[in-house]
Amino acid sequence: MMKRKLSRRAFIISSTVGIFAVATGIITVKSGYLNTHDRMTKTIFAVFEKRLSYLKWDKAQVMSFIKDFITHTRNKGYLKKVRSLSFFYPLYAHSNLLERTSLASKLHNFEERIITKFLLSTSFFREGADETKPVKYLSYYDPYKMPCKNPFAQWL
Amino acid sequence: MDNTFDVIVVGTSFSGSFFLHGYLPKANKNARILVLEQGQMKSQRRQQLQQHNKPRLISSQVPFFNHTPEKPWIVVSGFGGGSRAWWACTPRMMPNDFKLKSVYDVGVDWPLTYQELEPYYTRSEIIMAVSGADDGAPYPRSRPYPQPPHRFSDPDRLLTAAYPDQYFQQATARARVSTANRPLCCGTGVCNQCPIDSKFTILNEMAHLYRDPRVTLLFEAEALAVETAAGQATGVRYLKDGIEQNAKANLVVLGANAIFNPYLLQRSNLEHPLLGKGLNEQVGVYVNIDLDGVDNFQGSTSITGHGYMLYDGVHRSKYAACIIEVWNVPNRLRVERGRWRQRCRMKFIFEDLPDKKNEVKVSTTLSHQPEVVYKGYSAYTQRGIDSLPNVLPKMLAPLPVEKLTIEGVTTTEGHILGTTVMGDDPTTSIVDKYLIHHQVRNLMVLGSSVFPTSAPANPTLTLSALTLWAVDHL
Repeated sequence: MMKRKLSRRAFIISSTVGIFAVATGIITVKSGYLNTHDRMTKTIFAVFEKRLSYLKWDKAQVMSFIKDFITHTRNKGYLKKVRSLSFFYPLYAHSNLLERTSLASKLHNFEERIITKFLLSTSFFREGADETKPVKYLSYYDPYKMPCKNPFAQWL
Repeated sequence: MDNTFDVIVVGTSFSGSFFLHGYLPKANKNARILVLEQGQMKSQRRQQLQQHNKPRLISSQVPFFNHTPEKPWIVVSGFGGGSRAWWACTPRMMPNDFKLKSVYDVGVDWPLTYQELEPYYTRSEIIMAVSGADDGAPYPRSRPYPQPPHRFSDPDRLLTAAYPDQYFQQATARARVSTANRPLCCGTGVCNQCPIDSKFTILNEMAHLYRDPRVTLLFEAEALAVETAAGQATGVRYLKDGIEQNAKANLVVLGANAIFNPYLLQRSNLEHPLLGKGLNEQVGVYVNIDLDGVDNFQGSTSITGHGYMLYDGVHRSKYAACIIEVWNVPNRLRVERGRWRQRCRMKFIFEDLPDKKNEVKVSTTLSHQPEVVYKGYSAYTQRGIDSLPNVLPKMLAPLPVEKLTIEGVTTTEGHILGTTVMGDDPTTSIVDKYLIHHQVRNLMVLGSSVFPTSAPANPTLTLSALTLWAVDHL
């Protein structure tokens, strides 16, 4: 069997591809992409950066909300969807490309769910939806734990 | 235990409890009434905790075999039955719902009229302390609602201004004013398991009936069959603690539901070609409306408005009527800055026509279980649903609609109807207009299983009123 000699050009190309692949792998691992929890957390956090950047929220409080969202019993079923969406985290977080795909409506529902839950869990509506005031995370909005906290309901 | 009673009642939900409410004042002081409840007594708090831990608690808890699990039928066992999980929506049926055949040449007529049932509607509303519109109603009323109406949201106000005779505050047993046993509804929006016990349930308003010394209430007692002899009911065979037992009585009252009522009659060998046939319920379609410049959710309860714009009218000769629920639960706000509340969610609930293909029967593989065969809702209902894209733009013109999205059909409305229907003709119905079995004259069948047609309106108030009507005519 005749051995084919690797040309200089082929060697440079394959080395570059290899280095790129290894680098991507390292970055992927380092970025926590392979860790489902981290990936979901980042995907949810991206909603805040993309859609609520005009509000004055504190990152630590938002992370606390995200933790509560992920661990809340009633979200167990929905987290499967979040997990699937989070595979597209880099595209979602850093571009608008997904808005032109079949994922658009799922992402829109996801954003609505996160924003609804967060805003209802905060001081925002209770303080007149004033965008100039810092938004305080009060506690995770759960009607069974905090009944009668619907900020919009009126009786008179 | 002496197992001889005057009356045996199967079930503690609305029909069983409203029966006791009507019957106890008439019964003599030594009367003996046995009530068999298949489930357990659970406290409201325990139920809430279960709901909290199990997001989908309200599924079938009672064993029956569903051939089409994609079409669920909601059965809630335990003391109070369906009252534990209902949303407390209490519209009456419309007068023409009782004469669909005569007026629109569709379905069948009921054997009684709205006018005959009206006093019993009023009594049921008093028992449930129903809140409703104080300046009109889509149906004739002899008395005002016991409680004032809930507060409208802003979209409701636009609709009622445009449709003053067709749009009202929803009639509901979610308290607008505190009662002795229930606090004011605070619009939490999770009414199937109200966290503050504000909606009417059998547990919070009718449990005292079961403390009457004449009543013996057995939990985890599963009725197996009505015993008969010489064309008369003699008692009920039931399972308790794994042992089959017999209780005797002069009157047997089935107040289970539209799956277990026909099943018990079938197991009692009370055969009829239509027994168990015609299983149906209403069919709901959600519509999401993004508004331009109008905020929502200012109402005081979860569902604030009831629209009758697509309910009664000549269209019913061609396609199904629907009642419109306008929801006030902020569970999906908008993403756009400053427009979070500019959204309105409505549910269009269509009537269905019973079809013999949809039925309940004794399971062929497990004779101690009913099985449900459901082939689907009627073409009449589908035509109603199909009309929405054409009728909605005009009907919703009073609202500043930015975007309208008609969503899919809901899997269930949580009602089970039409499997032991009432009628004057024993060949086409199981019970008569007083809910007495046509052949066994001391056997009463209560609940929405007796509904000959579904009507769009939620069935609970009507089945409660029918129960009071039936007791009054005993």
